[in-house]
Amino acid sequence: MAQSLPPDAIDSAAGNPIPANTAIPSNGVNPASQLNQASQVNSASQLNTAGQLNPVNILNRPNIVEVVGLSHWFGTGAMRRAVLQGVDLRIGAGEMVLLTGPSGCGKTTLLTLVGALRAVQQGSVRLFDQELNAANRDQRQRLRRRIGMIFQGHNLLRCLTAEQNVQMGADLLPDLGYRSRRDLAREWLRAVGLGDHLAKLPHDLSGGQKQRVAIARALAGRPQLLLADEPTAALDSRTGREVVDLLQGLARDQGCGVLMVTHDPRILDVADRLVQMEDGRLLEPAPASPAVE
Amino acid sequence: MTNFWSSRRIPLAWLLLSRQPARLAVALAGIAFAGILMFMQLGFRDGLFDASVTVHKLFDADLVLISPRTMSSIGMASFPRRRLVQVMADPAVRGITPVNWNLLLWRNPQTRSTRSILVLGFEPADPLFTDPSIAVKAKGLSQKGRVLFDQLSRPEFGPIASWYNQGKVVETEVAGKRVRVADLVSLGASFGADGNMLTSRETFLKLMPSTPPGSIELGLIRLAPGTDIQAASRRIKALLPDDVKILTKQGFEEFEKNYWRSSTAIGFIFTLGSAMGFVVGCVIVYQILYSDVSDHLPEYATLMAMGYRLAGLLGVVAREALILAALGYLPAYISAQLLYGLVRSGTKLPVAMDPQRALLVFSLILVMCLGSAAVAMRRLGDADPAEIF
Repeated sequence: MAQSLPPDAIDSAAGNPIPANTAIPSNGVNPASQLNQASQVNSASQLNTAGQLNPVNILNRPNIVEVVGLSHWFGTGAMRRAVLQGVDLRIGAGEMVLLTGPSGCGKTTLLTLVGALRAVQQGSVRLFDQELNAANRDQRQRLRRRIGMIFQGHNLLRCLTAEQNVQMGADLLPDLGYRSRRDLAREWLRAVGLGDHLAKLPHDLSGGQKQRVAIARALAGRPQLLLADEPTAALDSRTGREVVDLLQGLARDQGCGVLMVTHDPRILDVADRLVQMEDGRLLEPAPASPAVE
Repeated sequence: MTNFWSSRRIPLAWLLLSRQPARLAVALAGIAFAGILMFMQLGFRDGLFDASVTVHKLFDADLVLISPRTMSSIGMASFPRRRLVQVMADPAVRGITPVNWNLLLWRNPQTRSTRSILVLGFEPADPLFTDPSIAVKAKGLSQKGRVLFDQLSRPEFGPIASWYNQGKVVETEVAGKRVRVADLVSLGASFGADGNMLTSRETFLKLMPSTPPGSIELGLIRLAPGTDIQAASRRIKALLPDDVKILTKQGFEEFEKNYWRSSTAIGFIFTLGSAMGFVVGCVIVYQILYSDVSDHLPEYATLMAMGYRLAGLLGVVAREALILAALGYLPAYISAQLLYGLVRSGTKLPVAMDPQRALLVFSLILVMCLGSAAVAMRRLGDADPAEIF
């Protein structure tokens, strides 16, 4: 049932990136709204704790991210320090890639480069078939509208209710009226199991609930790529598990690629592919099944 | 319109302000304070200038003649009375009143101290003021040595009004000559004169024997109803030589106000006062907006990471400033109305809200808020979306 969640599931199974205007929840009855949080989380975790990596055929999907020979430095002159050295990475549409590695190995830098938050110094980053190297601020800002971002510390706007926070994500969609953007925000909050907390301020929500709102906000902009930086770091293990399962289920239904940085060994099994990083380089392809279990 | 309404977004600026009521209250109090300060200072300034023409406003005239050497009501130069008579040649002129105008020393009959009083001398049969009751009382001036005392004069001239109302015969000295108060009138003290006194031309010449009988300080000209005053003024100007100056009644008042504005520090002092209000307001609004932007910097960075444009976020700060300006102006306007009422009843200064000043203060508050916002916005440039991961 969880898999039937948004109507785009068929699209993503067929390997097409989602056209920007095929509607996710709109007005009226939506399957997502009928789901309660428990059934969602349960079915998702059954699928994943069964031990197998999610059997998605990655090979015939178009790449939404193509990183080739990416190097990055911080500082200048004598203080110049290499953070990334010749990184190659590909992410297909709907693929979930987990990036692990010790602190300070450059994971977050890679994430900000892929997320078009930083200018590329050397190498090539192609995002949705557009080269980021030499892209200016404006072009990067426009590309970011197609990327959903989930942060370690949720980064919700304190003065907005859960619903308004999610609508800040939906407000970036062109050609949608205020009402449909608000309905979209409500549908997404229901999809993450917070249908009863629409009018609450972040202040009144628990850590896990805030992270769910952040997920709803990231997805409300109909992204083709989702970047998450340790989304479970501030959560206890059970809540963290629930949030990641939810994220995985929803991203898959949207056909949305995911790049997630994590330290949390308990959630590695949700990955389609596991990438390890050390000292600014990616290690050779991870073994077929992650080392956690 | 529906399109515009439907394309609206979350009203972030309003929510940022309204969800922090304490900060909003401080900001509004600050802006309202600055607004009240500007309203009061500008109000006092205009009120004082208005007070300088208390007597000028009362004259029954469409045009006036003065000497080109006259600078203000406290130094009226004389010109030949003939010039005023010449004006009668113009067909639009209905009537003229020659007026002698000087400041003389009035002796307080109670304390015997002297004080300068404005003395107007005119033929009691001629109309002087628009107030008809004065024309009736002026009949009492036909006897020599009689004067009409302005009961709105400052109290330093003595308890003239109360003595007169008790039925006493009030006699005192003006410029060393004995005069008797024939009746009381209500004119009002002005900036240049603490008190006023009306008398006949004959008595005036007795009080000031050095005045040549053919010279006057002010000529009042009344035109036929419906006459184009400007055109008549131009005709009369062409008619007369350069030893007199012709002004409309309005122009006469402006001439007097302009003297106080340009040759005294009054305008400067009160303009400086309102400038201080402006600066204080700027500092307060800047502080509020700057700390608001700083506190929300990670949130702004998050919005930029989500794909919101910097220009859009600058617009949020600008809208905050506009909201603050509008909400802060209202209490300032209302308080100023109340304070003007208090000042009017307390000091007899003609201070009132006028639409021009209301607009001026609103524009100043708007400039204050938007200017402060523009400076506070520079902080937004520090919001680096790459730093939020």
